[in-house]
Amino acid sequence: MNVQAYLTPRTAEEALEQLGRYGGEARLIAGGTDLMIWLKRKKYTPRVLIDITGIDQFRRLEFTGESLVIGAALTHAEVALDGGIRSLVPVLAEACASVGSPQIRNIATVVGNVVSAQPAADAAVALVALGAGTEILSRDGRRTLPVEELYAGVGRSIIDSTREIVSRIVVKAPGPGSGSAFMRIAPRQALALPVINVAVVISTAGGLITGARIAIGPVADRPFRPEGAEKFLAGVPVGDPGAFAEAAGMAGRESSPRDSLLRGSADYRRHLVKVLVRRALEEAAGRVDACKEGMPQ
Amino acid sequence: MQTKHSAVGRDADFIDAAEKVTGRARYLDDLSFPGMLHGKILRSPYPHARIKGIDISRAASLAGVKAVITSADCPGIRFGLDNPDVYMLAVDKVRYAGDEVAAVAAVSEEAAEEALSLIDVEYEPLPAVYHPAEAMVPGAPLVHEDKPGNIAKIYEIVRGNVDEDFASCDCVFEEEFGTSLVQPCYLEPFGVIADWEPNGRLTIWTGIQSAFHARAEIAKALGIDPSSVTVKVPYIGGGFGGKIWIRNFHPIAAVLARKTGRPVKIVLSREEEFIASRARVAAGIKLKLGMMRDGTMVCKEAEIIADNGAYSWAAPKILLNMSMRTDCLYRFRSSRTVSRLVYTNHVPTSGFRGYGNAQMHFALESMVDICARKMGLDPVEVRLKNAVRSGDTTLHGWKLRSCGLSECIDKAAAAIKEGRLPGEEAGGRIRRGVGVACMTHVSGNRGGDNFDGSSAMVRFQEDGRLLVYSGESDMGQGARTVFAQIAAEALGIPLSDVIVMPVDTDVSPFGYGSYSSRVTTVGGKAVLLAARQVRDQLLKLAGKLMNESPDRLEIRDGVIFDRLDPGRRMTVAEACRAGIRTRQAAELTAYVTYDPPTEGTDSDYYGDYSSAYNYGAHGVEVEVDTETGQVRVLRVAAAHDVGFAINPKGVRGQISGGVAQGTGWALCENLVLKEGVLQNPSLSSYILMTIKDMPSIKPIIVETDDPVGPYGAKGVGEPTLIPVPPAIANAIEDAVGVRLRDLPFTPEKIFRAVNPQLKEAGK
Repeated sequence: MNVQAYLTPRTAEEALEQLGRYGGEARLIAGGTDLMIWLKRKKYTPRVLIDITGIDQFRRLEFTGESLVIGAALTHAEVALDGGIRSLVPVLAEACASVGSPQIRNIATVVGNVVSAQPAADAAVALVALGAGTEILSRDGRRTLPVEELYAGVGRSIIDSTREIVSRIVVKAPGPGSGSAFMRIAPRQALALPVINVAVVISTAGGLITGARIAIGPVADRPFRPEGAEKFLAGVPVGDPGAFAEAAGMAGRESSPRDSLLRGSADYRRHLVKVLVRRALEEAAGRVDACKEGMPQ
Repeated sequence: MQTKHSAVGRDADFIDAAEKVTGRARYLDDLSFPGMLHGKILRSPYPHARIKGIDISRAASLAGVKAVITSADCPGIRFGLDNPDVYMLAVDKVRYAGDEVAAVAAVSEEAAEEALSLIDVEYEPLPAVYHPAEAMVPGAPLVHEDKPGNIAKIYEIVRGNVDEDFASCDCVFEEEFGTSLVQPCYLEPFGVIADWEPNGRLTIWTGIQSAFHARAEIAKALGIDPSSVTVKVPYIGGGFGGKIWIRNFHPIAAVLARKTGRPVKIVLSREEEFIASRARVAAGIKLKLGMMRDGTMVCKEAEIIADNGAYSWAAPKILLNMSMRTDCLYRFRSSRTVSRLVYTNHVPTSGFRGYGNAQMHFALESMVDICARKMGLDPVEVRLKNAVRSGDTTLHGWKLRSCGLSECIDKAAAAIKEGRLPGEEAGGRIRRGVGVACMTHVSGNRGGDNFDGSSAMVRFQEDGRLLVYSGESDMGQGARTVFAQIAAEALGIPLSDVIVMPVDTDVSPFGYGSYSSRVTTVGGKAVLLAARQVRDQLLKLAGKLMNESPDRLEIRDGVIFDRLDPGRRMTVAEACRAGIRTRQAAELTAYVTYDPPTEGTDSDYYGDYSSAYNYGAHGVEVEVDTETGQVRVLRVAAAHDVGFAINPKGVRGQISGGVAQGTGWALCENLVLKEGVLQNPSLSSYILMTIKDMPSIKPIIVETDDPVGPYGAKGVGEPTLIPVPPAIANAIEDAVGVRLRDLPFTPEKIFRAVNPQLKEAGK
């Protein structure tokens, strides 16, 4: 490790100015739970680290009329424990609570979970199911992109952390009649990467599903959405176990898990996709009424 | 018991607990010396390769590097135990991915690490062997050229007329079992500091379980006299058998220290702990059991083929335990075991909690359930019917001076039946079941006609506080506390007045070390005898000072008093002050060497070789998700015959630890090798359980008052792990009706066993 300076900007503008000043030799750090390992392994060799966790606007968790806004410095623990998120988007609270251990959740940020671009990052899988968007700041200005579009490959994000900042995540509020759930299977109850994880968000009206989004990891080079299963679910009655099993089967067939000596055979893991998608759909359907109240103000 | 004793038989916090939890206790890596260098070892990436050349010139010229060594710098001595088969740095070829090739000493860890990347080794990869069965095939590549057929050890042990007995049995069953490669995963990585003293002697600091064996083995590797070596043992952060024996890095550090004239520290990284530590011997076990219709077990035959890995260390002794000990669990009439230990290009294996005995318990205790079920008998009843009992001489000549096996089986089986959850839930998707398995082990191991005792020195200081010296290490199991309790009890002084000294082979009395679950039984007995001698000395002195006959005096709570006139008294501290370094010239010191009254074994391994034999039984309740194959161990009722619990709190701690390690072995721990290269060399990919995976545990302490051990005590360290995997296997069969014969029981294996019709599950 050859880090010579550790900067603690107070504003996003200051952070961008510092990134510019070091022209590619500075890299952002938030929780650092992934980055520190990469620095030791020399995946990156920045001269300067810029710690964005002291930037006030990145510390905000806001519910606007129609959206939930998660600042770049918010940790998994903060999101998992927030009462509003737990009642409104349980899928995200559950996913954040599944990451690592209490020590890791207390320091690792949700935005970091997205930018690290691992296909089975729990929070990111939930955010893809939620159709969440991101705000990206650079010296060229501000742009927005869905979480789903930030992936360039396993462990590769289109975000260049020597140049730009994902300042926040914006989740459009699931309306009344929506339900969500997150499930994972891992070799132990904590501190384990998932063998399979699944996030499901459904919208309903009049007892019928009007829209479904499903995200699955790690079965592709990014959180994977089985579009056939999602389409199939539109118009299906909320409490139809046969339809859920059918959709889960489709999701399994659409997924492409690999054989893994540590995680299990592709075949078995595809079976687990089916099991978890079905269970998550059932769980999400059971929560439809509970989410009726909508956004806390 | 509570009223009879003042210090033993009572829950005691470990006397070093506060030091440890506040971070004040000094482990090896906390030690540093002026001028100390950091050593690192270059390891082979190939499982089997010829070394065609090593160029150290780039590494040697790096700033901060003080020495780079290869085998050319080391004594050309092969060392080890039964099979001395290893050089400290590889000569000519490497035999596993992790084998030591070269070493560096530098002013910082970073410089040493960088230097490793600058050593140029030219390898010529060789064909390798990854499975013992392949390795035994004629013409297979040889791991060691002087070991034909790759055979490291063969045993054939026969008792009685097994063929005749099988012919007379109502039922004969045959099954095969397999155990996996696992690492002890102690918290503190193993390491050493080596320093040559100005007088030419070598001082070694290392957190090792057996300091005196280390002294002998390090001397052997370096070709010097053991008496020229001092081994000092700082606090040890866990060992579990993995730190009984030295590793190559011990003599390597000594060579680096000699070359540089400075102290050299080597501490393994966690990755090195996985790729190059000594794993549990993995074995394939064929078992044949002969029984009568009423459930009587008559005879047993076993064929074992075990993976030794690239170097032997203690594996031959482990194979011997695997071959024999379970025959002393039941009243077998005859047995025959043929076992082979086979070299492969895998990580070397050696001791790990259970020392071979655990592997065969998995096979036999699974087998008992399989056979009982096939015969329509209750497996618990079958165990009780055949259990050895106090007074028995077992098939291999063990004399059971105390044995609580039946009581343990009864209590564990009853406890696990209480408070059960429903057998099915979620429409049959969740199924639950219970299983029982039992165990035997030793408290010491004479091995032939060797010494199997321990020694202790006990010495009063002038303020009445007592120093206790033993050669046995405390690796975290609570030996210091047990020694302090025994000394406090014997002398009638408060526990807080006893100080147990660290092990230092120049100062401590001789002891073999912490293995074979022997420390409390043998080491504790030596402390007890020494404390009693000092008590006699103290009473003689006090008699003189009080003008009273010593046999009228007693000691309680640190006060010496006249039994018939308790008003006449003086404190132990007053007696010590008056006696030590005064014209009284009182010694108040005893050095006792104790050897237990056992025979040892003959050339056919027959005989009574342990001070005491330990027995136990576990009941386990599991829950299986039939849709995913996931298993949760819900509860464990663990009954152990410990003779007498000197520190019941310590016994309960051992039980929790053994259950955790045994459950991990059964369900998730596994070294996954692909063509000899470890695929999961980290704590994120080698799955140790966390607290969230732990079952609830009901510890049941059974006391049988062993006639030899101190206050009737026997060992409990290893026994707590041994019955766990077969008890889980038995509970899984009870839950879902499938029998798992190969460790570990991964969810995918269970899923496939439960859903055999789903050949291609994902379709």
